[in-house]
Amino acid sequence: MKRELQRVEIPGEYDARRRTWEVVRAAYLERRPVSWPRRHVRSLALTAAVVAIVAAAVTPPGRSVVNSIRDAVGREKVAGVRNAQRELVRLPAPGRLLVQSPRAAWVVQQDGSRRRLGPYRDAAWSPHGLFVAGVLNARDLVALEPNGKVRWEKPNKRRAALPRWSFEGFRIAYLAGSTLRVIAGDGTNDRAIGPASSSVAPAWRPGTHQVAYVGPGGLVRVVDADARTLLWQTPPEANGIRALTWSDDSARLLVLGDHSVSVYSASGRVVGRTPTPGVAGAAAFAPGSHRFALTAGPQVLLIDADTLRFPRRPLFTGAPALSDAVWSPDGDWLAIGWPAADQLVFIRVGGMPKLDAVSNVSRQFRSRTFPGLAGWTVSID
Amino acid sequence: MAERAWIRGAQRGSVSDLEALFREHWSRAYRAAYLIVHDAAAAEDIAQEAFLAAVRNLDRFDRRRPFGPWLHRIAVNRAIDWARAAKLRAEAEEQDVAAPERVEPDERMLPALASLDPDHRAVIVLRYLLEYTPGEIADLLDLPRGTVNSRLRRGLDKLKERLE
Repeated sequence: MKRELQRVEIPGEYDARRRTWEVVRAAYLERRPVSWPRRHVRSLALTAAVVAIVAAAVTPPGRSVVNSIRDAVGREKVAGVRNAQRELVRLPAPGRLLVQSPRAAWVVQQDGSRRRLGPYRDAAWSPHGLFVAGVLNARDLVALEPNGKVRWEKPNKRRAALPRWSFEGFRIAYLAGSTLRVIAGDGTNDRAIGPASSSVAPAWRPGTHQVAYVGPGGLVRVVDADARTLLWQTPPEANGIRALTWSDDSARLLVLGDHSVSVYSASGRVVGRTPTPGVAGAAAFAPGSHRFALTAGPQVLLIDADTLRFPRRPLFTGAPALSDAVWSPDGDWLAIGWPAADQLVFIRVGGMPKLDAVSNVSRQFRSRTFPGLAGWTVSID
Repeated sequence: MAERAWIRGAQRGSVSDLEALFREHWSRAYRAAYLIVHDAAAAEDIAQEAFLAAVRNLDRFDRRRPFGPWLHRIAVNRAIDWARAAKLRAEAEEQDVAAPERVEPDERMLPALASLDPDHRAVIVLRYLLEYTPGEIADLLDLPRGTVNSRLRRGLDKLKERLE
């Protein structure tokens, strides 16, 4: 039996071993060795607690002993959602989550298994989740499969950033230095579109090859990428622009500013504009709807883009601030980042309200800072 | 003895000692995971996760304990979870996603093993590939020893049927 089990041929074993060693080695080199006091923190804490209780009980200065221990050990920490799972063991809805840590892009399957794609930045799903676009070594635009296999690589002379796929995957818009460029989905026909802000991702209008981006001076421009013609542009935004996003039906463009939300129709007419209750974090249209989730300060709100009427109560509150917002492909769940609590919060919006949370997120993605949510796409089966 | 030295070296920051540990244990952990999940990509992820857990907990690892069982516990339990989830998906979608990716005509063991429940596969892999005793398997999987024995017996019976 042993011989039989050892004889079973496993496809790609050598490559799997090489890839795994690279990941393990990188994790090992990134780790901080634990000092002796930290290694024994439990026993030290227990001893300290016993000493403190005894001191508090029997001596007048006991309270100061307790306080000093608190000062030494218990810095203010956001507790986060109670009963959060310590490991991301499953996603609450079908699909795959793309997570971006400062050093790597990760794909999380619905069963919670994680794959480190490699040291890519600014990762983004293709429309059906068949590919991921990302940036390698700051300058190379890369398209790869979700198993990490690189399909093509396009080196750039300037810093490449924030690739985004068009609705059918035939175009990718990205930033090279302070220029918006568009390349075909197979890595050919790369061409410049125009000067652009280097910090805001372009947004393709669904069903078209029109792309919205932030031009010089804070104007939002919508261009036909194939004809390279300007279709319309907004007046300059009063404050900085954080993000652009279209509704699924391509009828609404949302411009998220630092402290405001502006909504435009497909022809560039202003539908509405409103200040946000706190510094804006992220905005995402719910699939198949004009409702969008907005993280602003500690709140996540669900807002109708046609009326811009704010709800009486937020969907969720997490101080001091929430970060990303991505929808599950079925539109029933919203994933939110809560960096101060190091938690991912999943909020069921469709059907009965429900909240799931996962803690220790940075550790799970081997990052010293809280990772970003880059998208939640459909499963491939 | 060498293993203790590798662990000590890795705890002190030696990449070569970590690599020695990796070389010693990766293949068996990966093979065990593959024989349970029957999916090479999943087995790679599972073995990778097990080693990453080892790296994360390296400083707290008690050098007096053997490294292999600790690693195999993580890998095998994750593989069982994955295989159970795959089975549920397969039932929901009425297709066999847990089928092996490639089967040589003369290799009957893999499809025969694939026909077992993940729990049965796991005990057979632990017993006959990794050569743990039923008592050790019971410890690794947090199961009563009687359950391990019955799963082994049922698993072997089913395997025999398939292979005959």
